[in-house]
Amino acid sequence: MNTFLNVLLSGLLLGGIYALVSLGLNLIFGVVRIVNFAQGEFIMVAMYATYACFFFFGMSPYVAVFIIAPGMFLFGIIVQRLLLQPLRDEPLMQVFTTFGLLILMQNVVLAITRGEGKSVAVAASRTVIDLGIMKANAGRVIIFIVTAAIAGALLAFLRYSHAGKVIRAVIQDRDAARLMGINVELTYLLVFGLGAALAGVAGSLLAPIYTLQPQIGGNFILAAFAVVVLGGMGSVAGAYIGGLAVGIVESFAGYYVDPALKQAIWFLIFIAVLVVRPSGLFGRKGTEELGLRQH
Amino acid sequence: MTAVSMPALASSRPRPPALAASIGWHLLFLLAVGLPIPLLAGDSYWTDVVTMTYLFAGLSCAWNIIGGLGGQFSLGHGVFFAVGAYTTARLYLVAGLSPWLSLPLAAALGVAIALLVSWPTFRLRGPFFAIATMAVNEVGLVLANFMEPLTGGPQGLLIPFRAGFANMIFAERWQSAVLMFGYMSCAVIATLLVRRARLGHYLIAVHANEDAAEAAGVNVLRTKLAGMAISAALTAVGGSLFVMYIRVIDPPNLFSLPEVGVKFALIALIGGIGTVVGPVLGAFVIIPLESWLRGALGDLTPGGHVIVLGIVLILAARFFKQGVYGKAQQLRRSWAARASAP
Amino acid sequence: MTAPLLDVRDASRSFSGLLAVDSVSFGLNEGETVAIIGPNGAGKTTLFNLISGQLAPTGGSIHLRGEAIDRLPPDARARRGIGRTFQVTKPLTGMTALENVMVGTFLHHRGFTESYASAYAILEEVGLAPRAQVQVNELTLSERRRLEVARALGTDPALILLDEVMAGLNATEINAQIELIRQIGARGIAFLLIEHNLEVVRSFSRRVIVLDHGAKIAEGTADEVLSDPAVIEAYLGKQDE
Repeated sequence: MNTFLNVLLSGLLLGGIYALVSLGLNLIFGVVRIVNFAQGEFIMVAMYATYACFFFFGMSPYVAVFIIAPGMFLFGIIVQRLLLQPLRDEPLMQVFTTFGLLILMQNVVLAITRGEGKSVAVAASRTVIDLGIMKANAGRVIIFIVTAAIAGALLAFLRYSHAGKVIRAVIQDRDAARLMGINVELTYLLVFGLGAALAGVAGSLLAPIYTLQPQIGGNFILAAFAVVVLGGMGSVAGAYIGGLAVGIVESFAGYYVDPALKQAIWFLIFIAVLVVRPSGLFGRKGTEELGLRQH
Repeated sequence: MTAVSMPALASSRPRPPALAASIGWHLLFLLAVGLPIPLLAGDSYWTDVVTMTYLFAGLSCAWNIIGGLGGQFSLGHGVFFAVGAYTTARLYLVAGLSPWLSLPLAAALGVAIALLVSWPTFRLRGPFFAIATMAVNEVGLVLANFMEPLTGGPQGLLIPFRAGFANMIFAERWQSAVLMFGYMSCAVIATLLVRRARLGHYLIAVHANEDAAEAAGVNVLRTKLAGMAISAALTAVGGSLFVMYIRVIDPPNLFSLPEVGVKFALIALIGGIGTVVGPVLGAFVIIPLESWLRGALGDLTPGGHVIVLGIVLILAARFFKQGVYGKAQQLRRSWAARASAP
Repeated sequence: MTAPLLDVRDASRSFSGLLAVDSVSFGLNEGETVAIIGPNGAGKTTLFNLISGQLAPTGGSIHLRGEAIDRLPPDARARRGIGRTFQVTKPLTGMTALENVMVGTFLHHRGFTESYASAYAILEEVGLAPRAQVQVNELTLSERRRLEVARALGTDPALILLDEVMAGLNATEINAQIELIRQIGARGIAFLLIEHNLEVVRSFSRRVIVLDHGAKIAEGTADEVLSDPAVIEAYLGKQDE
């Protein structure tokens, strides 16, 4: 029983990471309807930026996040405006573009760091918190708490603020939104920026608990895709719960089956959900538009 | 049911383009593309570049059938490539089976896996399909690392050099070039035949508008599966030829998206996505460029050539989506318009 | 008394509680032309989708020559003789006008040469032969509408659903389109049309069906239906208060 709880808790903490990583992707999917293949690399770059702040200025990642998130926000706006907005009606070219961005960013970082692993060793990396049933790494616990807070804040933002209502309108029906006078292009810009900023937050919080490698983005992007499909596009609650679910499943699969097969597990979840319930746990109308058939 | 019309006009109706003529023109094109072989026979480096160019041209043609004509952007073709490579390599190492004989088996396995994987993923359209195929590629990588008895695990497989036609291992580089040229030619002719046939028209229709295609009697799923099957079979054969040429394979190299999966798509894009000869043109741009870049930048900046590839991808998607072939058509049309203008 | 070509029985379609088509019944005989009219949002295109297969009915059934087709996908229905045009034209980009029609003719002609010949004949019939080798994105709206009809013709249908096939055309183009449809009709093909243009409706549909809020509220000749108070009310709203 103790082992079971242990695995479950590990899964929850892991799920917190996946939820954090998916929030940005989910928002971009749901609103701008773009598959941002480079989202994992956004996170990776943010991790390295955090490292740079730590290495050159001795800044703690939990402080650096307040510089990195806004920085990533700007970066996201630039990417959307310059690269993606001109390709508005060409999904195939959008795929090529974000993929190009993926390999570009990954290899620029590779070139700069020459592939040496880096680490951000702060107190949180080493501190262990006793949760009674098990001992957990402080960094992971922080991520779990912060992610829940961010998810809650996003939910509140979407439900109660004017900007949030605009975003929800665009998620539901962008043509109708446009007809009602909403500046859809501006919404896209801001949401893509927000998605990138969320990647920035993820990068800063993840830096203390991972060894930084340029290829690390790949770990996140597939899990994030699985989460988004599972949780339904454009649904913050879906992304959060989906993230926890993926984390828990992976934890159990890793313990009871084989840790080497975790990607296979993601894929199986992914496919199973798509076949059984194409619109995800918290299905949205948008999923039909992006092409998940519902007959 | 209803009568087809008007015999009176039949005589003024243009005759449909003959298949033989079409094949003829493409053979001429292929002949031109094959010229480097005798010209470069002496130079080992450039012959290798040309060999790889032919191979990737063929692989990209294969991808283009489902990705270009059918518009189903697959990032999972690395799996078929790997299946072909591992099948041929394993059977050669374990049973001494001549690679020539394992080609049909590799193709069949490619088709089987394609159908298995496509049945769930073809329910998705556009970008979601791309993600699902990317996940397939990652699963392939994991399984290849995991199934050591079959694939040699993370270390991969090594084929010792023993020249012989039956072994598909050639002492002279130019002979490999000829083999790859043959492969590319088959891929090009296959694409031509598909394009002209019902399947080609149905694939383009599905790409353009699935609802309209269905209303016109197209079975969308069956069309996609057929296109994918042909594409996978050709890709697997390419993988088999690849392993006997390079004689060392491992999971990271076979399943690498920038080196394999995405490259097939990039080459098609640059050359002219959805066209018959586009992938060949694209290969002649990308592969030599990449080789040169790898040489020039390789030591200075690890991954430098991939950075350039990434930039090319982004710029091409934005400014050059019609590819070399499309650009050439555009120029030809504007010259023709200018020539006929008063 | 011969069985009708198309027999729609109590067809209904609801979307999470909203009843878009409400128990509509009617029959259509071989070679007949019937128009479906009604105010915007009456459910006309949804009804078309139920007949051509883009949607399955949530209630009732649809029969073609006695066979229940309501569980069949659109391509199976096309094979059995239902053709369709779309309100917003859906040309198959990346191909020429001829190739677009060939996608239709390939249904019954397996080989390239027969498909090509059959498609070219159809293009001649609709007057698009000079534009055969033109890429579809270069065609005018009127040409694209004719191409949609041509592509449907390619499948050798017994019935064609024409969804607002006159929309966006000027008076000359409309007359040409009417001529075209009459010409095709002479072949014995049945038509079901959604039309807002009442002149068009009057000029060649023997029977008119009126939908409002998803339900059939009238059926008869054009004159009968257009003088029906229920129909007038549906279009103009209640005259009181």
